[in-house]
Amino acid sequence: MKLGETQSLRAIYVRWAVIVIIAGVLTVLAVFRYNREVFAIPIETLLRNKPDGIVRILGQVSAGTLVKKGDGSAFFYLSSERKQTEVSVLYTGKPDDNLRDAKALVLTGFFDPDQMQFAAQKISPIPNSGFVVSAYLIALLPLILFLFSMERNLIRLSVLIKEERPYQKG
Amino acid sequence: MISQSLRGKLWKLNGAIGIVSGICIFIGLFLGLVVAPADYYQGEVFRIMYVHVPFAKAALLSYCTLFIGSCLYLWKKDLIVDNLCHASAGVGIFFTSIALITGSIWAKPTWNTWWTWDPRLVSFAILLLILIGYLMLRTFVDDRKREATYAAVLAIIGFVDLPIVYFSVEWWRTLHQPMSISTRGVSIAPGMLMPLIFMVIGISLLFSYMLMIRTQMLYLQHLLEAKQGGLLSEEVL
Repeated sequence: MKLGETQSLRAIYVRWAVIVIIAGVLTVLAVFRYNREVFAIPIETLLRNKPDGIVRILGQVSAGTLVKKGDGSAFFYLSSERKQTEVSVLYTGKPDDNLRDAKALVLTGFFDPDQMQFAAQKISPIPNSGFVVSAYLIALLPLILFLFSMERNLIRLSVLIKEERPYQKG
Repeated sequence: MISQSLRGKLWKLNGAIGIVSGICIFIGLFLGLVVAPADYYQGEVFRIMYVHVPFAKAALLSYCTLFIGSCLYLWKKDLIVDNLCHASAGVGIFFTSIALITGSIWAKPTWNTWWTWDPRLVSFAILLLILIGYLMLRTFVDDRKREATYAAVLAIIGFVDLPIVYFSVEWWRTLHQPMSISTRGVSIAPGMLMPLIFMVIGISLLFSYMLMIRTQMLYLQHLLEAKQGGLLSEEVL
């Protein structure tokens, strides 16, 4: 490998190292936001650990249990993914279109261990984060690899051209 | 012929385009993944928009470049322009494939299916097939000028698909949502729109950057092939 090629390739490696570090920082920030605003625990964990303070739980509105009141509040049972565990929920937040029978939801609120009831104040759709992560990985990883290999090949070709001097006759 | 000085300036400008693109993509990803609120109905899944839409726009941009370049080639017969078209098809295949795959991933949680025979999806898949066909055609012809001419004609014919892709959501009742930004107005909340704008600009500039690199690569490859061909004939003689 020639000196010019080594220097040019080193510049590319340094640039890409910076890009990878920035991508890492972005990933960490996104994970922090996910843990702070999105992450929800299953019903089994809620009933086992009985956590204090505001938590998010994930589950499905048990079919036929939803009773809505005029002020937007509602009472229903939320079942776990495999429908083995249920917890009663009293929702007192704003009226929400997402609150429907058999709908999978994330509820934000706190658990009352004495009444074994979850007092929900906010409803969010299920995060489906796996789809988001896979879409970003499928889009950005090949892009990075494709671009990196293109830049490296261009440097190698440029060095080769300088050595071969094809533009000179004879 | 594109003058050498213009070519030199374009290749120098490419570094700046790469940097601006990187900054836009960083801001877009930061706003899209960290700052933008979750969608009321879709929740977190809507964030796929920040890769799907920019890649789809870049795919359309690649075909527009291919079409304009092909017309220019048939007019001027400049092989540098042909290199640009060749590069645009290669990079375009990449962006089209990614747009289709990310769209499919987005479709599963929202439409409950990975694929449906929707006019937008089908016309976009046809665009990918046209681009693949374009590159395949180039490998079948030995003579460089004939290869470039045939490829340019195919690219111009294939351009028919582009308005169908773009307007399919307006012309037919489709499962794919209509344009969010049109003459009728903007139907995205400002907090969700800003990251999208940054990502679209960033990915479009990245497409230009990749296009220039690939064009340079093809140019150098042809130069090298010509030289090696010359050496071979000297050896034979």
